[in-house]
Amino acid sequence: MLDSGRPRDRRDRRTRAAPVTEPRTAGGGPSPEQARDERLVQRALSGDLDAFNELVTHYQDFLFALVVRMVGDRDAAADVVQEAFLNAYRNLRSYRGGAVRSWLARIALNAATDVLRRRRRRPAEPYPDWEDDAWQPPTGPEVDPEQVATRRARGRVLTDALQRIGEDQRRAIVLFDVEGFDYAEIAAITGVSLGTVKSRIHRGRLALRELLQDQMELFRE
Amino acid sequence: MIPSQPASQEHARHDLELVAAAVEGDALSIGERERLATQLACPDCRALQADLLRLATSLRSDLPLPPRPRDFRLSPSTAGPARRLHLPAWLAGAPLQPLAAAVCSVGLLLVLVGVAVPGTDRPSVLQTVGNAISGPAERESSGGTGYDQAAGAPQPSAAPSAASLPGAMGSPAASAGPTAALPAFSSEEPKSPQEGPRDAGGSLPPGAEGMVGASASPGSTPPQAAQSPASIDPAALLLAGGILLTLVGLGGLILGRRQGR
Repeated sequence: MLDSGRPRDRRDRRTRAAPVTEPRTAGGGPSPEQARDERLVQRALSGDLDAFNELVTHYQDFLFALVVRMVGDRDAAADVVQEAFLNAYRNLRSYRGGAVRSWLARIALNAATDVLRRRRRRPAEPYPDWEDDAWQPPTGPEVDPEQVATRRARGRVLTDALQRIGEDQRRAIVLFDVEGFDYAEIAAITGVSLGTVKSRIHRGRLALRELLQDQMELFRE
Repeated sequence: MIPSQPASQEHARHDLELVAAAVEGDALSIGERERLATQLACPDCRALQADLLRLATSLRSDLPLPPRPRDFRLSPSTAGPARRLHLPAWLAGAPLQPLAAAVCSVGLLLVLVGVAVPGTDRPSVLQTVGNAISGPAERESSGGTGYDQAAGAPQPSAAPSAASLPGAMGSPAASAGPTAALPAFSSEEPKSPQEGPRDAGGSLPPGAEGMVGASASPGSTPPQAAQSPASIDPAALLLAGGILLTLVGLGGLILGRRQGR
């Protein structure tokens, strides 16, 4: 009964939720992507910049999307991502295996946290670029315009609401709901316990629902 | 937390986080399951659960992928400075900053203890530390008394042969000589930095035999032969060690900061 409301199987949800990178394999061994990444890291460690840039090519969209949802400002996010890749390159030797995607996410989120901290000290209104049409996913002529408009409206209000919840909750929600990391990965990335991760996700969703209370009809269509 | 539309008194007392946890199917204890079952009889809680599900679904499907404004690949010119700091693997992965902070703290503690040791003459301690840093040769200039003691002390190794020579320090006739000749001797010392270790070993410096045989200069005798290790001030050692550790710790902190960036 408790799970009756869940839309689909959890593993399915996790893999579907990763919009940028490849879904993880269900088995215990490293996925082909992970093996590829580790080979690239080894080559980069031996001084092959092209190998590192191949990693950048694979993960730059993911990292930019992750960071821009954290800081809410595309210019700042671009700077953060560039800094994150530089830090990753500088600290390649500290990579201890495992998912490069998580490792990069941790580095980028740390850099994003620094930006948010600086912003708290010196508040400035970022350019509200989520109004920009460039944010919207491309659509074909076969797609129902009304549906497209609804999705855009949902995306806009969600993006706006995400910027208004707490930073910890936002980080947890973005990693879990948007980027598809599981609890354990988020705990490793953010350096908090599994229970804290769950709590932040639950409270973050409750906070989002409270913020969007007047606009929930948009999501009920 | 959520004042839902016609929020009943009952709903206000419900644990909404429990409803949120149930949305994700997180493991609940038996007690929590029972409470949840009770809560889901509440229409507001059911509406909340449905809304949370819709929000979760929308978060993963409706958020557009923001196009990145540029390519983040590193050019050789940007990558070059980035890798300039080569750390060994064991150091690169180590929590360098906490270690460095600890070393720095221990160093500062040693400095404090070194300064606070009773009976320590701070200027002399600092001078000793300065001497230890700049080189032990300078210490010879303050070795006048040891010089005199050396005349009567048993001479190690080459000393006896030196003392047996005419005009050498060991002879009573020459014993007044060193005192008189000390300034001249001291002024000669800085000319030869290689002679620094002499006072520690108490042996003749290289070429001293020739000097002794030729002119019986006071400098040819081992002046610090009697300067025992007991003369090393422990406070100075603490101070020097503390300063050294503090510097190492500060270096580690700087390195750790660069590493963490």
